[in-house]
Amino acid sequence: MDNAIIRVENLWWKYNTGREWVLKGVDFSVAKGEIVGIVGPSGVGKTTLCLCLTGLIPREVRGIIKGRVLINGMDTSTTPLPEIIKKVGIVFQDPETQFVTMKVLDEVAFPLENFGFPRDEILKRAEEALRVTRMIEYSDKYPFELSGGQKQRIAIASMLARRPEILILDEPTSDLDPLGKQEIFSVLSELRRRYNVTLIIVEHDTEKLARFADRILLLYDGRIIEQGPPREFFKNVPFLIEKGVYPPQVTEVFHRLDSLNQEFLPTTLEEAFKILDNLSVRDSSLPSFPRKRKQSGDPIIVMEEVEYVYPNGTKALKGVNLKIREGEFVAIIGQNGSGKTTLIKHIVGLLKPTNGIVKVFGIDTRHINISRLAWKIGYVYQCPDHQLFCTSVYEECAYALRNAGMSEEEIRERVSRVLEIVGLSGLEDVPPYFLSKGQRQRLAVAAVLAMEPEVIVVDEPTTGQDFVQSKGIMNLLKKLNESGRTIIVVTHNMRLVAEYAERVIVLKEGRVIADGDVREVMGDFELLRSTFLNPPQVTVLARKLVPVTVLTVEEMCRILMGDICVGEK
Amino acid sequence: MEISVKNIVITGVTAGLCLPLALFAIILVPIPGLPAASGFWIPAGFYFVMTLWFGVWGALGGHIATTLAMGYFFGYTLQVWADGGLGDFIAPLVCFTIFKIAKANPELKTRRDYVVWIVAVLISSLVCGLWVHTVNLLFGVITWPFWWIGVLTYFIGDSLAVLIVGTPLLKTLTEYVKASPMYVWGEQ
Amino acid sequence: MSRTFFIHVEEKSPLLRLHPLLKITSLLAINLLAWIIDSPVVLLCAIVAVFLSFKIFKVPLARIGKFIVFAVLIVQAVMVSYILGSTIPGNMVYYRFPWGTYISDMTLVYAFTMAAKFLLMLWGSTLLLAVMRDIDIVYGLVSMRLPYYLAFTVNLAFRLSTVFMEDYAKVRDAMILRGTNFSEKSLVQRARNYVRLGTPLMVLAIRRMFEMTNALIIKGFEPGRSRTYLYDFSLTIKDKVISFLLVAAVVLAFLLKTFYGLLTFPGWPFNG
Repeated sequence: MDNAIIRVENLWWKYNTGREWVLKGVDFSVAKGEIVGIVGPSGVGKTTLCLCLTGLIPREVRGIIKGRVLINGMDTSTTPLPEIIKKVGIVFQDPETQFVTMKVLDEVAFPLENFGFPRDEILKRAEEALRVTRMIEYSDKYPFELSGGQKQRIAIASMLARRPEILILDEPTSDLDPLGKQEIFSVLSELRRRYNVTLIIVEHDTEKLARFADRILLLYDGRIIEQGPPREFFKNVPFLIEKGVYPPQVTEVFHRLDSLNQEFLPTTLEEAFKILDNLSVRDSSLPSFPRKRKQSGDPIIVMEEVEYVYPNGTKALKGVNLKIREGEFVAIIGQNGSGKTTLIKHIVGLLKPTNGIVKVFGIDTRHINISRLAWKIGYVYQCPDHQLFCTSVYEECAYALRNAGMSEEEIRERVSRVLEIVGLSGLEDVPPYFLSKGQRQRLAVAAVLAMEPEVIVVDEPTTGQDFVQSKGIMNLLKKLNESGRTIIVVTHNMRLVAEYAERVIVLKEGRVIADGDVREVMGDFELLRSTFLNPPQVTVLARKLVPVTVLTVEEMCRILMGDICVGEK
Repeated sequence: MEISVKNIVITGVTAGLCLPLALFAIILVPIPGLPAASGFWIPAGFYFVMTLWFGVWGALGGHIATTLAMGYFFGYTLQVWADGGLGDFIAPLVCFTIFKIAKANPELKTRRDYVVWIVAVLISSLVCGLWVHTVNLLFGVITWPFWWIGVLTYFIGDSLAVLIVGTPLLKTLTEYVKASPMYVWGEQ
Repeated sequence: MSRTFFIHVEEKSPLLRLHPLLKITSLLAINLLAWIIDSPVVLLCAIVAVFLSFKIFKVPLARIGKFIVFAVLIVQAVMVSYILGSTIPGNMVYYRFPWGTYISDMTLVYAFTMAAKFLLMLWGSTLLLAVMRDIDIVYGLVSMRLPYYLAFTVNLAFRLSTVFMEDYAKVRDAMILRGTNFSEKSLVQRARNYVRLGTPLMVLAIRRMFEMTNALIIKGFEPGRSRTYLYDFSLTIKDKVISFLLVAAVVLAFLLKTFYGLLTFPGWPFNG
């Protein structure tokens, strides 16, 4: 590639303290103005590759490098780092660790000050960057008070103000709700249109990449093993799934329909709609999909007219009424800031309502000891690092059991059982902080599971996880639900909600605006749109054909395979 | 000595971590008769360990945290900087120096490492207790009869906190820190 | 409302709009004046002036309310020290301790004087820190010709302290949910519980160090490199006058005390 702005040539990298090579001969080029997506399972080296593209590896991080990375012809191993970073910007997954000031405008101006731009140029560029990222009206705000999507946009603005030729985004949307994701990709489109910035995006959301990227690279076991434009890239579905990358749902659906003899597999809804335009459906033989919500037991969590006001005056819950019954699998969805975490903190007793009543197992939470309630309702945090405080995996699982005064024999038995369930057997002596993020998340689940609570509440279990790991966690929760436990999950991942949950509670601005069977809620597009949530691709796809709410790829295939005339209209 | 971004961040993060701990320690375990004294100086457990891992930058972080926390209650004055602030800069560096001279391993793998650790903590706490309360005496913050009480409480408060808080941190996290790109022990 | 490190302050507050250098100079001046002045009456007047300043400069008085406990701690520490350990001469000795110190009629006055010094420093600092933003620390210290990276480090410490306090609360809650009792009767067990908090806090600190270092390097931050500033904090005539007055007040207090015996202990009305 002659006009390559990035050239990676046989790149090998091993951290000083690592035993294995992380990157093993990575080779690829990126043309100026190209948008390249990088996918791959968690822990495969995507962030390491990003750091190599900025020059931080090898200039700031110790290790062994072979091969080279050329940024606009400059070798990152030999060119002074300030020269490289003038050309390259990077936005990390967590925008908060990148903020160093207390005002949005100051944050965006900070890099320009460091590079010695004159004052009026700093202001001009900062304001322009905020305008492009649609954050100009927040210039005077404190960055930490903003939503996740807004924070990430400020992080992008602060890079953009420097007008780098290359912008790398390392999982920029993993912590964001669907609206936040949409905002980020919309801003990235604008960047490309205005500045022809070369974009490298590491993402787990293949549906977004399929729509947006010019080319997608699959990083696996330290190498690029597949690359191509989205249509080419997603052709080999079994191969991708085997490597831990789930293609867009529409691609999966049409892959399974050999009988349609498609020239290509669609990667976006629009492409899929075009194909469906040529198909017809016999209405009379439509499959009926049952309600998922089963008849469950007695209500174990009751909230009546619950209101909660934080000390700073924010009213997070406004008259919430709901009942959760024994044995249910409930998903709580809603935009960031809608009150989801506040709601579940009331359930586990960490917060007490300002008004109204929360009763758990018949007892008002204002009169319950939180530690004792934890044996009935387990709570898994979004960030596992906040709840891992022991020196080994075994001790982490045993911690609560020791506090309860159990015998060592019983502790050993329980710990061994839960580690088996979460797939961490054999790692008993490993300190938790040496585990990967996915493993730490599972350990957090195990530590709570060891207490054998009847209810398990999990806050955003899929954040920062690849799809395989996310499904793994959800499968685990499903297994627990099948064994009789009540599961409450807070998540943004609508695809997983549709596949696993039976009941969905939708929150908006502190109120419950929908509460029902997952099929009913997912089928109400108007409702979901009002909360800036998107139903899964297959649900939208199916609605084009039939007046039935489809939740999974399998259901979509049943409609298309079993009951249609296949062929031209 | 060239200062890098890493050094600034180590200092800032250490100070940011120790500042609220210092505020807690002043409030939770005050010593009657000794303004600014705490019977259990929790942040010491952290900045001693940070110093062993990151050298002078960890100590600087402790110094900034102590000066900012103490100054809030007892005045941003030369006296506060000179006693607690400077004392909490010197103490971890004395410990670090003893560790280096004795070539002990911060991972506390052998009995010798433990002995060096305990002796280093006791010596540094005593030296700095003497420093801090002599400064206090010279500034008239305390009276003579309370000088020796001050030295004793500093010695006990610091060494207890460092040994109780710092030992498990060194034991459990040194290996993890050594694997992190921030570790500088080998480069000192 | 404008956000400072700790609270929100009305935009109209004159203190908020003070030049950063003056905020830091005022902070140091109040503390130095408290240190120099030994007269209890003058100190009392200064404390009253600080209280009134909260109202005049529109800084929420509730800020002081939060620190009543700390004020009590300081007062008790000082009182105990001077009551039990001083030999302040007076007209009458009420009690002699076996170790040679005594309580005289002036002991309590002196103890109160020392307590008043610390209270003045505490509430004066509260007033000024309540209107400090990150740019005040940075621009203020840089105006004093300190290197930018030093100012940035102090700013980072303030900013991260609130982040770590949130982490502490989350970890503590997580431990409570796993059966930890932080109100244990046993001191040893209580210590173990708090010590256990240290591990996740340290892990979070180490991770943040790495991420933050990368982020700062990418933003072009480099200690020692010359940089420009978004804001122009040139000193106006008014700022220069105020800074002169602040410095003059400190110098004057020192001179009055040293050469004229004013502002000394015990001062009017105790010395008749």
